[in-house]
Amino acid sequence: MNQVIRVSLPRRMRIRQKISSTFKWTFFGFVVFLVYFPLIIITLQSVNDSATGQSFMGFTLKWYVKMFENDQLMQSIYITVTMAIFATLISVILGTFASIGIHSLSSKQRKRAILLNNVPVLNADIVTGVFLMLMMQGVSLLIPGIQVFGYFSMLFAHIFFCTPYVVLSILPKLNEIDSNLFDAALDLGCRPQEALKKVIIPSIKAGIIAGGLIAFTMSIDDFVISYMTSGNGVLNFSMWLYSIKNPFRNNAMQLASAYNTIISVGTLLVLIIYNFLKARKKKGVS
Amino acid sequence: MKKFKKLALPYQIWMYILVGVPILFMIALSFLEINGFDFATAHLTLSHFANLPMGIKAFWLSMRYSFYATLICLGLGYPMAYIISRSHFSNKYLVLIILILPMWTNMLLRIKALEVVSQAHGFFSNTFGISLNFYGTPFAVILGMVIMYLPFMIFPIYTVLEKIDDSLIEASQDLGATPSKTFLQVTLPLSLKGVTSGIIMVFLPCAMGFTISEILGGGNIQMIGNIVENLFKRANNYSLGSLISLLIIILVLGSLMIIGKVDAEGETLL
Amino acid sequence: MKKYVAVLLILISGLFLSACQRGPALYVLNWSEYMSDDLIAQFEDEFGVRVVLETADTNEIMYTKIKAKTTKFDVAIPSDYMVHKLYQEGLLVEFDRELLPNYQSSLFDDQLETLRADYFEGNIAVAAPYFWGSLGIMYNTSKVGLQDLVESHGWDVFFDAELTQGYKVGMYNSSRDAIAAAELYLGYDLNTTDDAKLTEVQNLLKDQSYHTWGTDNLKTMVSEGNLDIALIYSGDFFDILYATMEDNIDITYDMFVPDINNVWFDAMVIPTTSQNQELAHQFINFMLDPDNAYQNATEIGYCPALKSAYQAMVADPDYTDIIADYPYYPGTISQGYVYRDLGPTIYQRFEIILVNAKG
Repeated sequence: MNQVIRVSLPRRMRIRQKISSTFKWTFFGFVVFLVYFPLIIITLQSVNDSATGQSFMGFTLKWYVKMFENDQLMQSIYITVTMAIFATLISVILGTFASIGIHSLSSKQRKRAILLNNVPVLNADIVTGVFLMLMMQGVSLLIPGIQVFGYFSMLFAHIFFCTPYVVLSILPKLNEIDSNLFDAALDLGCRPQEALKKVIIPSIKAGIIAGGLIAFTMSIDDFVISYMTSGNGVLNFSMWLYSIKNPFRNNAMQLASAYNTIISVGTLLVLIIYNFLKARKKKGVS
Repeated sequence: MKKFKKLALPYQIWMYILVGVPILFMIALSFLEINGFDFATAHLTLSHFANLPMGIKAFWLSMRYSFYATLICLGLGYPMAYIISRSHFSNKYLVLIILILPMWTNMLLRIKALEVVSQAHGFFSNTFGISLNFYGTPFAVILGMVIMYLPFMIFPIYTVLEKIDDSLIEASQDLGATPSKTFLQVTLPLSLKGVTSGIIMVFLPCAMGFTISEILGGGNIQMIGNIVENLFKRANNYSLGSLISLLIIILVLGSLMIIGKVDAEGETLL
Repeated sequence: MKKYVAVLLILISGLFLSACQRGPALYVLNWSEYMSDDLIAQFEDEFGVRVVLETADTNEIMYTKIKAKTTKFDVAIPSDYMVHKLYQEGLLVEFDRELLPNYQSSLFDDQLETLRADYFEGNIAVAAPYFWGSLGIMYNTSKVGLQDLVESHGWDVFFDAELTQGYKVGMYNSSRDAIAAAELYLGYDLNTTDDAKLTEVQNLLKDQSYHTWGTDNLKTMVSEGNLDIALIYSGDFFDILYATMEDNIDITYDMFVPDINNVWFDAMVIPTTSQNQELAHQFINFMLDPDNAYQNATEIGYCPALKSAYQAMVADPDYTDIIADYPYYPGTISQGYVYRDLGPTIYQRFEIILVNAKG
């Protein structure tokens, strides 16, 4: 009976299909537009040839050059990027070992450990920030004279909230790998640490990389936690932007938009090139 | 693998200390009349509880607005995830990554861009001629939440929809179900885990954030995150701030319990 | 293995390099857009140090930042009552006058000195006035009839919704100033601690619904037309005026300074958290230099505390007209009241009044 209908679609159904198709793709376009809307504004601002930034007055790339002249902005970018790199590296190392440890626990202990791990993930940024700030204030109470707040306090905070994401990426991969692999390695004469290095870590590599990417993203875009745990004039990009009360004065908005556009266009390019290469590799192989 | 149990220990200790000790601090601070962190001059009091209604009011406001935002995200995100998963894109991951690209740009800057759009006179109105003029309204805040967090709804739902075996759909159709019935009775139930994940990933940050409501709300929208930030960073009132934060923590612990029941291995959150 | 160790060492040294700042630094806590960047650069060159500037929107935030010790500030520039509060709590260092050669007698404006003489006892020893001013009502001149409305009703415009129907009103996001506006409207003492009166103020503020609660963005919003009326600090107006004149844009706003008002002065102080008190003194001394104070005043819209700087501004052809045409000098206000510190309980109460009012 199905075959009879498939052979000749009545006109009504064809039109209906077309309408639903256009509706579907209009909706799709709308959602993409919605999500990209702020980015479009940001990009426009970054190429706007206007000193006051109040309206669009022509294209220019001068903000991309002027960006480098603004010391405070450059300093904040430097801090943001270095902090993201270090926080990612340290939390990946910490997270990998923690995941392996958690994976080895008994089922009940594991559940509790995962619950604890998820606290920073689910917790409000502001409350996590408050937690860390209170701890640090406590430390500065105990050890008078110490300068607790600054680059390292922010880094510590970043490690604290990035590691749980790494753990969350790696744990499922650990569940997937065959536990016999590890025993086999031991049987073949490997010491446990060697087996760890040569068997387990390579097999969870995808999870480690995914975790690292998430940690990097979380760190580089963080505002609230950095805001609560920094000090001594150490500002990351978000904090710097937040502290500018009138962003079109001194062209802070245009400069920040330029920086941001570089990041997003750069990331997009990297992704497209990566995909392109991967597709080519596939073609080459087959 | 049991040999590696000990590796978990340092991490556990670190987490217990960094989560447990602050909570104890906060409980202590809630009952103290204290100037900043001067424990020497502090004394016990219940006076902070008198200001709790303000926190509760902000709490309900946050819940309401986040609820609307989450609903809208669900209404937009589920169909979007469905369209992508059912589509014939050669590389669906690329589409997803294009959707998540805005996440890799600074959220604060994106919110500030929305602020510019929302003003009656500014870059947006002067360039495009339309004065949207919604600055300082609940609409601005909810729109901001939707734009910022929509991808967080799309992703988990897409992941779960992709995992649904196509043969199940075909089987349902072969058995005579209409497409809508197939969706309601086969696809939807199977995708609920992703939906839950998406709802949590959108609802919680929206409810507890403060940047969106501060920048787009013009000071008129006081959500719970704004109150906490205000008390700790402006008013130097650590005690009331701790008390209200404890409210938030109770909500978070509640959500953790729910997730713990639904998915113990922690897969939901990613 | 060796490769990993080498990479690790490079990373760790990179970590320390990025964290370690180069050379000694002076940490200054100030308001936004309240100090000439050129002047700061000049100081950095002359003394070979970095100046790390942190900003605060209100006195309360300044207090929280100083108390929290997240940054060990060397110099801060709070307002009168905050200087008082910090002094009471023993958080300020008394000046070593030998390190402040520029701090001569009769350095500051006479009327300001009268105000200061009447102020809390220790203030001369710990504070060096910087700028002074009052509150003001900034309004959009392109709206017909608004000027008359503001000038004839003064503080009423913030508390009479019927009066300002159809207009966008902005209130300052500072507990002390919002409460002062209410007290000026109700005719109460700006330093009252009477519980009934404060409750009335609290309810009054809560009943109002403003378009925006802001700080430094209020002046910009009025100049753009995004707000019609806003409570500002008097110098905010001149700040925007100077900027608008520079950019050659039309001036579509004005300021009304009611005669019953709050008069305030900001002063440079050295918190006890300072790790480098000598350098702090040198910075204050630098700012008290008449030429520097004058240069600062040409960029920052507020009225300078130094007599010579004010006279230089009046004589400066770029500013003579502005000073003549607009309410620049706070001394002309006949009923100007200075805030006093009202104690920690009222302080906390004020903060809570503000949070409640915004909801």
